[in-house]
Amino acid sequence: MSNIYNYIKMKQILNFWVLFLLTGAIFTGCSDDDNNKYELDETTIGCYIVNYGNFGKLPSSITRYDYKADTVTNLYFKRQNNGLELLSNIQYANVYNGTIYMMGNERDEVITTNLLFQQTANGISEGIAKPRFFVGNGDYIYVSCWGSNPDWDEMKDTYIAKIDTRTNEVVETIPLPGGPEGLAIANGHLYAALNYRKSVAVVSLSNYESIEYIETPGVTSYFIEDADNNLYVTLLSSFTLEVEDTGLGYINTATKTLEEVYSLDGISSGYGSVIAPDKDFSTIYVLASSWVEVGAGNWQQMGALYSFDVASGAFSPFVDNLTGANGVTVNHDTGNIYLLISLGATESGKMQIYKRDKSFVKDVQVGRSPAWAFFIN
Amino acid sequence: MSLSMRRFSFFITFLLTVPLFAGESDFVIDSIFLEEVTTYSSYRRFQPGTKIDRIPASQMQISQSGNLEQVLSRFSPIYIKGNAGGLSTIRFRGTAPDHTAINFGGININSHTLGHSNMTKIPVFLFDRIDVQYGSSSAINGSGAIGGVIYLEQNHEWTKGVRNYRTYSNGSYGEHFYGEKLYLGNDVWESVTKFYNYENKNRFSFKNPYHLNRFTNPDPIKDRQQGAEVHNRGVLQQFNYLFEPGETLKSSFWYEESWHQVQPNMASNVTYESTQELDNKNFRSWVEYDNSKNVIQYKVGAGYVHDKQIYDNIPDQIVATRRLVTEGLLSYNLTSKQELRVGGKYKYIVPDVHAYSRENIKYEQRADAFVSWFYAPIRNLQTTVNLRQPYVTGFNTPFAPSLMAEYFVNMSNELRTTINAGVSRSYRIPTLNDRFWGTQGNPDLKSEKGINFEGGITLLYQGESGYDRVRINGFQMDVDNWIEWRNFGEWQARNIQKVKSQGVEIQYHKGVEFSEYTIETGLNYTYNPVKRVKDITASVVNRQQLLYAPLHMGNTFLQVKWRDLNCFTDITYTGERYYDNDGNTLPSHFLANVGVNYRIPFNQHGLILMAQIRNLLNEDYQNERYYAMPGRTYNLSVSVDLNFARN
Repeated sequence: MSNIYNYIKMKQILNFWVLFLLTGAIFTGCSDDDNNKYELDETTIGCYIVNYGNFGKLPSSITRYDYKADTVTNLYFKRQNNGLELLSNIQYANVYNGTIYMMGNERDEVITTNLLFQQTANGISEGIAKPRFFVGNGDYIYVSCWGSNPDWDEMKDTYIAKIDTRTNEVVETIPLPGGPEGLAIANGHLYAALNYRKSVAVVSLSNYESIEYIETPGVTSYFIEDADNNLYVTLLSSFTLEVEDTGLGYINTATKTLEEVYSLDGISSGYGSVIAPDKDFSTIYVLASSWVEVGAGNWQQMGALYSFDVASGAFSPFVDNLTGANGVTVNHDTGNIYLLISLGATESGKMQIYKRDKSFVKDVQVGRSPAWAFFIN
Repeated sequence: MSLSMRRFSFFITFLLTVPLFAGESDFVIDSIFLEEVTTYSSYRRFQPGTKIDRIPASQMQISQSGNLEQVLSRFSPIYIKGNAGGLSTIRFRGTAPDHTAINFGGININSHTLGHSNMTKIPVFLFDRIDVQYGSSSAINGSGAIGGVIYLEQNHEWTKGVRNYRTYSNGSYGEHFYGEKLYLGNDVWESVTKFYNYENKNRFSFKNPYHLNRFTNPDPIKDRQQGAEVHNRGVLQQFNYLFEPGETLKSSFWYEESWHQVQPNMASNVTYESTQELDNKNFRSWVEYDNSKNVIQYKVGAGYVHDKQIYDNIPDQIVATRRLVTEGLLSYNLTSKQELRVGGKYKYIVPDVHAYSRENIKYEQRADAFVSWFYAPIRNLQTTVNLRQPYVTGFNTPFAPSLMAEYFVNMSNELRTTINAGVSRSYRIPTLNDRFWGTQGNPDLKSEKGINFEGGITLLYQGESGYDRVRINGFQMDVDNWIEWRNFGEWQARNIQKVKSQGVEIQYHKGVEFSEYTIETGLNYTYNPVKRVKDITASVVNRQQLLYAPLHMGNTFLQVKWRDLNCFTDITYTGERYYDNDGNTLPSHFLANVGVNYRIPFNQHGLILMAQIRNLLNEDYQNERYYAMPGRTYNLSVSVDLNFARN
């Protein structure tokens, strides 16, 4: 009897150990599966600058600026990937659900990494041609794409690619002519700024064939979203179309109408972070051009950063006489304004840091043609 | 020692030992070399001592199915940046592609919109001679002649009867060339028709380190180039009339169609689906009447050029210009030691570019007035002064003078020494794109301006068993107001920087003929530091060598001819090149080519068979970062020369 008891006891112990080991194995397996996810900590927190490079000739690089420790790491992607450099020119990058997505051009692919910028899987290239921008919604990201052979006029073959972030596959493409650039999601709709049409496309997320258009006085490029889920959109001049006005447009997403236009000449038509709000959305920073007197009566066009007061709807110069200003972003931790300056497509650029009172803090050396920056914090 | 270096050492040894097998015999000066020193086109006459090299006829023959990019990168120390056949641009003495003029008759064929020419679209087959002038010569050649000038020249044989030459060649990776020349004429008139068709699938294989699985397997994979197809064809028709010796009417009509795919870089090649296409159509014509019978000699010419480019089959993306060019020259021999030449040139340019506003430009007129004075004050000394003043509607242009001198002395019966020196101002009028492109064109641009100092010495030894020629040339060139596009709120062209280029060029040529052998060999070496010394953004002036401007370049060649059999080989060396301003470089490389041709004569006719191996050592190299280049390639050609002309 005791033998039987002992046998049962032994079996229970064994079963316990088998269960324990299996559980351990399962957890280890899960850990392996998830080893590409990293929690936010001092190794990931910082401002990440996307240095565009030179299209097709010099690929992008990433600069990490740890603003808390005030340290800069250039060629950050290369350092994090055993010396392998990026091969594409990154049109846009940001974090979504703990994964960094980079829109790579030439080679065309959506590159995914963990928060340490470590790439462990191939980029998504199937169904992706000239990706521009993305926005996330649930388990999906929507990527604006210009197609493999754009006509650069009507942009007939441009589209939105929907990627399932669980499988990293394009599961649907939504034809959207007009060169969709910046994207935003608000009130159950996908908003696409059309860079080759004077309108914003509004795609219903429940029925992708239902697309409405909001007419705008200029072609459009990027959005920012306020606390009420309404959008500010940049209105630009165009090579091919006559535009009535440029500046910032305000879109009420409840009514899907352009409610207001705040005029500003020479707003930047560059592809970069040309618009950025501060933390409480009281001020929006916008890149544009201005005229600077370089001699008696001799005026020259130069870059400028404007601040837009949301309450009054007025622009005022923040920094002017700029050469190579590609982007602006605001550090919501510190309130400082970061201005991305390119010194040419073949040499290192710089990031100028300003306080809200316009006082200059410092220059930070970054990579070639910095155009975007995003924060992990 | 790297594999590449070992292969190179082996090859050098091979080159050096081949002449030893030949033994020694009587000397006959190389006919090509004679041609170089005795032929005086007007551009040579008024630029004594200027370094002007002629691509020898034998090298033209070797390269006849190729283009200007191939012949220059193989036989001259000039860097051509480019990919495997679609786009190649010249970097003469470290300058930009816009800084080299390419002359066909009285026309500089460089695009008025882009400012330069694609070297792969200029076929060697259509031209009898290609001359390469080093250094600035705007006083003679006008806008853009800052780094150098390429002259595309025709011989005028005044054929009596009929002569037909046709050639067909086949190369690796889908390369085909067919060309034909037809000469018809009697004592007074001549028609020369040249036609060619060139196709290259460019489906070469290469090692690709940028494949999709590089994160798990960093070793390169064997890949095959996609989307780099090239198709060029063209016809050149000449009608020439000889009134009497010293009085001629010559005309050339050149129509060219060139199409290529925009080669994807190595990273994109892996996921290739399709690529863009560029379709160019160019018509260039030049008609010239020349009267040099009397003390007062004159020449008048006129030409019409239509350049058209369509991007990716989109008719709306047109970039086209039409231009009418006229030129007149009057030359007077004051004494046997002096000659004065005055002239003028006029251009009427009409752009048709999708991104230009008609309000900003409907047409542009340009005129140049120039005067040259040749003077030989003492025996063996030749000097010239050239002055040129250009005018452009609505645009200020600089005055361009030059002063040159050449002194030669016979040290002995065998040794002749020539010393040359010169200083010249140069300029480049900004392109139409720079000034009128969309809202970004900058009509306030200034002309780029340069100054070039040049000096050198040439030693020619003519012994009984051969000749040796050494030329050492030094130069310094400053180019100010260098134009570049940068972001000033909007991308715009501005006068950004000042660049200083300097260097030493060494040439050595040797010719030997004995028994039934003729041997020619030569060496070119260039040391060329070129740096920006000023920039509107002072922080970027870092004293680094300019991008894609090798500090060291060289080449060597050897030809051994025995009866109708000709064996040839050549090696080029291209030093490190910076591809960004952060100190990153493309590694140096050697390229070796070998070949043999054999002429089977039949009466006056001939059948020529040629076989070549290019990139013999299968060097893995890049001329532009990330763009693959072909490895070892084979080429076979058959040519038939049917000569029914009377002597």
